[in-house]
Amino acid sequence: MLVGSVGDLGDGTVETFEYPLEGTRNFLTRIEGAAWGGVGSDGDIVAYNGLCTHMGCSVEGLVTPEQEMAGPCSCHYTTFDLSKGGMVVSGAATTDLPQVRLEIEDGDIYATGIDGLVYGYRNNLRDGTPIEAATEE
Amino acid sequence: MAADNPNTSEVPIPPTGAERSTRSCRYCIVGCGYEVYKWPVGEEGGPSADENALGIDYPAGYGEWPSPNMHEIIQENGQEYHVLFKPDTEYPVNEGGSHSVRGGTQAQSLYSPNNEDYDDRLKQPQIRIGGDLVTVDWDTAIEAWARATEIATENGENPNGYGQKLYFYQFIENTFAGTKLCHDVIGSPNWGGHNRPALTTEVPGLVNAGLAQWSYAYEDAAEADTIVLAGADPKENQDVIFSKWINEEGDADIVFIDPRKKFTANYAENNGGIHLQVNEATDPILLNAIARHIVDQGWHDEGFIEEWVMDNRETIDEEGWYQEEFGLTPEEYYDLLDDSRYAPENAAETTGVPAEDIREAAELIAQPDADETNTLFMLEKGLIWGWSHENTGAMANLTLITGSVGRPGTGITRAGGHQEGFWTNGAEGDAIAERSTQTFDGEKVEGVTVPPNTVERVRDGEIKHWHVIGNDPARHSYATQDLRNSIRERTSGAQPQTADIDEIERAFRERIENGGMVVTHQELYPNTTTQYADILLPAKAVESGEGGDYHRWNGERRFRQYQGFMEGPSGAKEDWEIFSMMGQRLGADDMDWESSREIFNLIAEEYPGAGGDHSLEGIAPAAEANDMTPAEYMETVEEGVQQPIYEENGEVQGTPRIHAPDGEREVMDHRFHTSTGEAIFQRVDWDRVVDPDDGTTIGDVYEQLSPGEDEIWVTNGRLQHLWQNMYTHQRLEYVQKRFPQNILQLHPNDAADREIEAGDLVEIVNDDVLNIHGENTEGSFTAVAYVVDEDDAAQGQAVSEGLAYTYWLYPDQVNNDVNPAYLDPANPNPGYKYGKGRIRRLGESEVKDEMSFKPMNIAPE
Repeated sequence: MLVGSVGDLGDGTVETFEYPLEGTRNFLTRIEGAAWGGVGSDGDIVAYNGLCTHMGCSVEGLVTPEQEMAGPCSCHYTTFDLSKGGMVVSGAATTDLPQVRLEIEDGDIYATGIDGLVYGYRNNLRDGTPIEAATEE
Repeated sequence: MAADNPNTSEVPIPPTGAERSTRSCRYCIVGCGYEVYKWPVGEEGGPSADENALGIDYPAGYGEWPSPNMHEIIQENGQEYHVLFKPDTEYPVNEGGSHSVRGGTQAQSLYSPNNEDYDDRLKQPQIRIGGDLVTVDWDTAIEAWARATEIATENGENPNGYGQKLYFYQFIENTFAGTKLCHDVIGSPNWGGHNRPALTTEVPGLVNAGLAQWSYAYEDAAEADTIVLAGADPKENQDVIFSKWINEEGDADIVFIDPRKKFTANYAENNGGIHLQVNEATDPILLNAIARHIVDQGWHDEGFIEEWVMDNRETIDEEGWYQEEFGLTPEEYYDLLDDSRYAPENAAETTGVPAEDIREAAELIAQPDADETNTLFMLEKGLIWGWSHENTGAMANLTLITGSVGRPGTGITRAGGHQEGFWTNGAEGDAIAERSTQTFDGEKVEGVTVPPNTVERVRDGEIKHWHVIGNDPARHSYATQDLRNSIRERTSGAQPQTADIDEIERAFRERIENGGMVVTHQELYPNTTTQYADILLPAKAVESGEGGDYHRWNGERRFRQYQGFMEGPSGAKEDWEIFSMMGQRLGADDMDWESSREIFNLIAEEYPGAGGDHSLEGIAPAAEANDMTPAEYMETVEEGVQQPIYEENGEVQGTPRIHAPDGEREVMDHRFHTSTGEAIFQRVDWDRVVDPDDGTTIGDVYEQLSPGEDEIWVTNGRLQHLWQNMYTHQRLEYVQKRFPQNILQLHPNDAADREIEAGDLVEIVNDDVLNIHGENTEGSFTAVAYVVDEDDAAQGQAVSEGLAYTYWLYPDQVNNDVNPAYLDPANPNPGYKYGKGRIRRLGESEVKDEMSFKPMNIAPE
């Protein structure tokens, strides 16, 4: 699924998109250095799910690309390392922040999957409406 | 494309018919409630609330979600079962589903033969024969233990030859059985707890002031106006106390006293509080300076002190030897504070805390403009494992001068450790009084018999059979590198050459008669002590739910039942059962228990600890009124009940907090735990003489402990992901990924001076480990340097120059090897926190590119 454009993603930019189900919100950003799973010429473009895996609060507005971190979450203060696959730096979350797999084709950024279970779900593709289906409608 | 990580792609939903039991977390003192669901693999519930046992609609909402690490598959009798460990959203401790990373991942710690990380779980008894551990049957193992005990104690003539190193925590059923074996059946005084070498209190200055170490209710953290966190960091080791009770429910200003500028330091400063970044090991001076300023300003509660603090010198002397030595009248206490050392400007020079910050903290604590002072004092290992008496006594004194105790939003409490379950039949008093070979000489008292330091009795040969249960003293004692040398030497003698019991006895006798020692180790997984074990006994992990039902209490004395739900390895036994077999073999006729419930019923009916802080006296009468056994009755008390426990109208009634004023329920017939019910100020004196023979003072020891040229302080503590010696977490993939090796936090300037960068493997060497019992020794350990560049340290460096910090008990990378053998002579608690060493780069670590080295101290602004 198309989620952004390399050309539009400047330093410090944080964009959001829904994937793979309606209402599953993720963020796309370019961090300071190369990241695990990062794409682009410097490997610094990453995307993650926006819900803290501790108790489900949003970390979308708490992304600091220059620090390569998300958080501390406003509920219980977990922070995630965006350069290391969403690894918890500090805090009570019991899984990493799910990382959206990205691919680049002709300057466009596509989401191709998610590593890790999104908060609230038993399976990232069940109990909701796939975003592709919504697009078709 | 679906998520394709095989470990996290899906979490099964328990069907409506899943077996449900309840318990609290296996880890820390907070004691959060968890629901456990167990159901056969192959069955699954649906995503609607009426289709699953959780009663929730998927996708799950805030606090409802069972994460992948809350799930495990176990195997019993050939059948695989799903197990889900989910925070209990109804339990009063963590209502709403709060949980820590440790508690939230405990399902992953369950033993499963399918998980190769758990392959080394001890499953059968073993005896070291010809150098290697060999599987034997239980009868042979118990007989070998008994013969070693008989040789070591000269058939009971010299009970001190047997030493026991048991846990202080765990469950009352197991500690009751273990201490009965040591003190009652064998009669030895040589008993050490898991974290200290003697049967001593962790907080001598607090309990000898007449205060309880667990006196508050969690709601007090929510209702306090100021919270003092000294040597304690709930964010790191009591996550739900911090996140729910202090942060979510409360609004207190925090006075955070810690050498490091960590998350909670920044949280305090960003939210109306203050961080006092105290120089290592100078807390008594800082705490006295705060108290002095409170008194100088007239902010102390004179009415409270007049009514509730003992002011008669003779009465204090008659209270006991400890009070005679360390107790002060109010006037004596004020005189002590008047020493110029404790003037804020002078204290600032020693402690590194600016005088204006000392004054600001004093005002936050005393709240001079309030009608009543509502300050909660919380302390833990940062004070306990240091100047044990002075640090804990200083906190007791602050509590008493402000009169901030016994009311909602006030009190003093420890703020860490395990959930508690230490229970005895009372035999330890006689064993220590009659047979302890350790005495204390103070400035006022002489020749006082104190509980023996068992580590020293391993070194000096008094203990000839050391029975270690559920801990790893070869790693987590003080100056452990030297201790291991002693253990290695004393266990290196004759060894059995066959499993024939007479051959085993021959070898043990030969070794012991030549000054050696036999080690029995009773454990879940092998650890460093196992390397020296002659007899290895596999135990059930009852704290994780293996075996029967058990009881213990949490940090607000909430006592509850923990229901067993799985079998564990079939060849392992519950600790009480092992103690029972041993006791009966030595002739005890009152240890033939059939279950943990039977022991609980015995305790509730015959040893309920009536009158104490942790009294269970209401349980048996309430059970009888409901025509149940005590264990059956506790099964119905789903929210637990706070000790002391009374019976009213046929049901148990709890006690929210200790030290309530007149008119409320009191413990031991008094508000404070002294003969008169008045509390006692404690002498907290940098000039206290700790060695009467040569006049050495606390201040002198501080100088000896302080880093020399090229050395820096190396202190230690918690990381919230890791629990104790990591017997579960070294086997848990999610936690290992974050901390695959121990870390050493270094200031970038200290790192640069040594050409060290983040991810390098470093060695910490202390070639002058202080030993108050003899010659100084040596120690060293390795760790991965955790260095944060100044550009990334958005809220400051966690460690200042001259100070390094490490996790306290990482397997094979243990800082205790460099920590001093300094123990308070009046109450032998070790100064584990006061390590030092030279740091040098070994090379690039294997995990340099795998670990995150981001700052861990970023707090909301």
